[in-house]
Amino acid sequence: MSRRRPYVRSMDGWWRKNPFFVKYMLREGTSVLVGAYSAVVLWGLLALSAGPQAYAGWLAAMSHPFSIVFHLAVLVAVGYHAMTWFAVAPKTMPPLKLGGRAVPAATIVAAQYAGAAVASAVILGAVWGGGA
Amino acid sequence: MVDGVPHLSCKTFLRDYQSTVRIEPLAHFPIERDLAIDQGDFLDKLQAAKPWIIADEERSPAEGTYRQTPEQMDRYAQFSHCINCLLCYSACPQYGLDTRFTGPAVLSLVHRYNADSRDCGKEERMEMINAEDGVWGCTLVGYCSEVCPKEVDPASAINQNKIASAADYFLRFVAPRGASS
Repeated sequence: MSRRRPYVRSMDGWWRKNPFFVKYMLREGTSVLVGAYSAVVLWGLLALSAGPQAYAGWLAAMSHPFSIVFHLAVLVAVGYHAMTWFAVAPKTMPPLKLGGRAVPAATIVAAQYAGAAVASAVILGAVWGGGA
Repeated sequence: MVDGVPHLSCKTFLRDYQSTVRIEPLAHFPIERDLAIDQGDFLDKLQAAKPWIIADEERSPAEGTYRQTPEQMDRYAQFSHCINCLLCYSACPQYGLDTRFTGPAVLSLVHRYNADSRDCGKEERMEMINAEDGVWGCTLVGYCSEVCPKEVDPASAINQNKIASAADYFLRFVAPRGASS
């Protein structure tokens, strides 16, 4: 008979014990707002397919002060969410090589920021430039 | 654990700390007594990963050594630096919450051998990667790579294998296992 009684520590409140885990939980937490936003966009698409009246109703709901505050919160959450994923992206892909040399992680992260900046400029240009 | 952070005590210098230093047994492992932890679970998983070169055919010393290009070695060298110090397990909340998770170091070693051009055991190890407690138990907290003293980057090894695991799953519909034999 073994007299060993190994002690297993509790994991209660584990994520509050290390700033690294707090940031991780924040990153995961922003997905809730990202998910909520996709539901709102989906609702808009359904309204669009239901006819002009339904779409006007959705547009009216979108201009409500609550909706504007929600969208600002979503913007902040999505921005943080994107930043965290840009940061971990080099870990999620096979090693990238250019001309026989490994591309440094910082370059991959910077390339994503550049890509996001170009995409944002094109979309904003199309929305505002097209409207003028 | 030094001041709540997984750190090698042999590489910890008091001059880097102010006033008091709190030394604890490695997190997430059962404590035997004092600073001693029970690493049995890790050792079982390590053995299950078959961390050795599985060759297609037995090779006698007379046949000479395996040959490998620097490029082929590059693919796994980083992951072979693991010293089994268990810091990554102490850094992994997923392992702490559910010890069935295979964990960072063992999954890195699985990747190390699968990525080795001399090895032919990938199919045997894929089962371990594909399992729910394999790479899919990882949520990319990323702290394992942060604390690793040998820059193995277990998070990268695991997440590269999520791609491998997904490919393995879908390719099965195209070319079912055992179809060629």
